[in-house]
Amino acid sequence: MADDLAGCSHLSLLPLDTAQLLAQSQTPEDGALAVFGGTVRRFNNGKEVRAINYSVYAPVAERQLAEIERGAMQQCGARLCLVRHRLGNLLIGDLSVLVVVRAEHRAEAFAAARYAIEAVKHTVPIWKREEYSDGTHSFVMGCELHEEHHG
Amino acid sequence: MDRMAKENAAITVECCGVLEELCGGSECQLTSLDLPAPISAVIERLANEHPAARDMLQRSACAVGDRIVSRERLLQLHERLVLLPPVSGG
Repeated sequence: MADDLAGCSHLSLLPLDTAQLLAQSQTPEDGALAVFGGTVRRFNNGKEVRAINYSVYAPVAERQLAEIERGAMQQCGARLCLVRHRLGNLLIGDLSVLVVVRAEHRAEAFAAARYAIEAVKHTVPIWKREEYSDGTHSFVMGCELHEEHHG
Repeated sequence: MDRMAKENAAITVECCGVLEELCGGSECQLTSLDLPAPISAVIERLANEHPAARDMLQRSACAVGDRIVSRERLLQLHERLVLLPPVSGG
């Protein structure tokens, strides 16, 4: 998968660096910072999760994540939105997705963060394969992609 | 398309997510196609070869390069079709 991620700025096999995103996004003009992180949790649908493998179709995902960032700023009034998603094998507690929003006021920051994470879940070609403590595994069935979301 | 050209007419299909399991691998080569062919026909051919994947194929989006495309789009010789089942990022 590493070769497929060459040139990708939103996707990484390495742990997501929250501190780095906070530092690179800070300006004196912003009065609000909203951060959303998604982490791997121990239980899903009554089954104990041991790990999750995240896979991606990078050409569409990278373009779509950039579009989500633009949409969060244009539609919610945030000054800056950064979205990063981790890939590969993650363990319980690992950070899988990170949204950092800077805005003048909290309303725009909260709105943009929610917009971004919902859009990630609905429109980005990333897949979770859960591995359970009983040795079985299953892909999480999420949202169907539609052409109109990817103009 | 003459017979020899048809035998060489190959489409590579990349199967993402759960389709990798249902189609027996991350890539499938479909040969002997009448090209150009609509994506819908290529998917039907794949579903016939992998009946267990049929339902998921119907729920999947299609991509060529970095674009989501409709099933009416015509695939050309040696193009790569990518099948994107329901997503679950986050």
